[in-house]
Amino acid sequence: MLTKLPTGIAGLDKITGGGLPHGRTTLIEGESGCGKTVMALQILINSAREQKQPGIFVAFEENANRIKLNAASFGWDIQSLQEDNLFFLDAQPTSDIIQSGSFDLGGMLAGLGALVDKMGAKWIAFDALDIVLSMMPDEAAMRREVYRLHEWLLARELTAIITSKKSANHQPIVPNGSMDFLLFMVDSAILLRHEIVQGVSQRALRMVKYRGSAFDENDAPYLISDNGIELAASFLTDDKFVEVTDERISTGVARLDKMLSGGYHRAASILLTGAPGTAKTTLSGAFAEAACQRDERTLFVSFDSRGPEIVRNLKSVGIDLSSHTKTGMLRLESAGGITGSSEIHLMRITQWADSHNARCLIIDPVSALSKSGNALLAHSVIQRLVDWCKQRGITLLTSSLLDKSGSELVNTPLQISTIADTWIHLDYHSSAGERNRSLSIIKSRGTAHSNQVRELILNTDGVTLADVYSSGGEVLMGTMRLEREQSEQLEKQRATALHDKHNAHANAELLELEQRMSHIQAQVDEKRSEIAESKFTQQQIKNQDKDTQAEIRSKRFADSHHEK
Amino acid sequence: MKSEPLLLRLYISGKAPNSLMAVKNLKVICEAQFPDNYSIEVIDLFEQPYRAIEDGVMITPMLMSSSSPPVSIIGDLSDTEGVINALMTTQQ
Repeated sequence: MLTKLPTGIAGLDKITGGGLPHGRTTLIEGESGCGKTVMALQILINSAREQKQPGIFVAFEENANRIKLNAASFGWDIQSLQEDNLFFLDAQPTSDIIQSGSFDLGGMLAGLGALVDKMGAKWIAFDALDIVLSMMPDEAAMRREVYRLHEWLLARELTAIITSKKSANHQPIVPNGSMDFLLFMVDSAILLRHEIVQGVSQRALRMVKYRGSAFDENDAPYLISDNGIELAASFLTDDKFVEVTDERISTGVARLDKMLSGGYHRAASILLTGAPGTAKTTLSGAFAEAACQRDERTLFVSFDSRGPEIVRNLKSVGIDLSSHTKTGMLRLESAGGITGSSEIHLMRITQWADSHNARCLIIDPVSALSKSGNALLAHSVIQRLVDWCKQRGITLLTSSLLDKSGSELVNTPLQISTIADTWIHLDYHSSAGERNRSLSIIKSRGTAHSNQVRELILNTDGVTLADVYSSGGEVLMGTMRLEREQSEQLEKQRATALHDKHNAHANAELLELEQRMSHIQAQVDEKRSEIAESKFTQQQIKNQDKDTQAEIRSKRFADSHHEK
Repeated sequence: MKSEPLLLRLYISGKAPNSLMAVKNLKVICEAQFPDNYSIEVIDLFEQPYRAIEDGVMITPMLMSSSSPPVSIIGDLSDTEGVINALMTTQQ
């Protein structure tokens, strides 16, 4: 069964599904300056150190000391590796060597055989095998030596790397025949390519073959960085993304938080688009400040300005970043001066973010990545940046330059609009002799968000949002909005006064009516008591009459009784 | 006047045809050109493989002179004239 040995080059292990074939030979081909030697050396050093698998590096082209120096410049601690772990064999043919008749590599293989046995070597690299092959008189001799080498490797079950130069135009690089047969002999092959597109260096690696294994056949961009070869694919080494949360984090603008029902989602990717001067950087800065205030480590990468300029400019709108840069919570990096492919930018940004342990990442503007010869690559680079951030739970805020008006927004230069979870568009509205900034939320995944356009107001106290008035199909901002606000205020006051007046009037009337009512009531009462009094008097008169008659009767001894 | 003896070292790999041929050719050349005034040390890397590493010998057969600067000739030494010319320069 085919087993694979990890190379320690993260991206390479990913596209090969685990590394190079154990006990077999891998060819690394490419033009000069592609990094063939670096890659072979890196794999051997990694294997010796991480896997404890000793290796031999046979240097046909460069002298071993120079190679060791190069390794040291990549920060690979080659000194800690003993000769038992990694052996460098100087094998450059001397320039004044005289050829006379047939020769072969038998002596070297005999020597290497003894060395392999002594060290227990598992890996061997033949760097620039083309150098020694080019000494052969013809292609048949080259073939013979390559097969000799092949047999020797198989017999010792060594995992081998052969590097060989390849010309760009498929012309043989040596006059005495093609070395294409190398490709047929080996079990796996890696092609390194280095091109200059519009003045920008673009490197890509491609697996050409891998016997007995599936592999990623696509170009994998790579970079020769301070740490050696790094593949773009290494960013997605683990497919584990952090758990999706419903956590909201502040945008730095209170009103915008409200519009987004609480703020941006944690680990979301946010896109701010707009023409130059629409306050993209300001909103980015507001977010950075809010993040730092939450004690979240933040990386702000600017392609436009240097760090101190950003701090100064944002201070004028009430955003204080300097205190956060002092505490180290905020790291400001300027990437504007760095030319290079978008891959290089991506790697640098992710390295910064890693070393800063950033929870929030701001790139202003991300559209800079598609500049100068990077147009084709930029989209995939940004896709990977978004994925990279999501894997780590980093909230990513990017801005993008956009000159077009709202209706043409769907095709942002990088088409990152589809990648963005939240997309906020900033615009200018020019009317009545003023240019006013506006903000609208174009989309926000998983969020009930306001559909309304807001006016964005920058002043020394910070960033605020204001309602805009729409009147006859036109939004009103700035002075026109203020005027409208004032006139509405006046109208309101007038209405209130009118209402108050009306109320007072009615109250007075009511009072009057009530008074009248109580007066009438008094009259009624008076009448009632009058009536009652007169009734009483009458009764008394009646009674008196009765008494008087009775008295008369008794006086006259009347016999008739009319009493009741 | 007799010049300094020619000290030669020939690295070979076992009984490989070109190695055997080199030994034979070298003896013929030396007998003809430097009679009784040469010494050949034959090192078979199959028997002493470590010498390949120590002496930096990648290709066999390989002839090295002890002169300064040393002359290195690779191959079965079948180009007799070339070998003689190279060795003569070390003698001067």
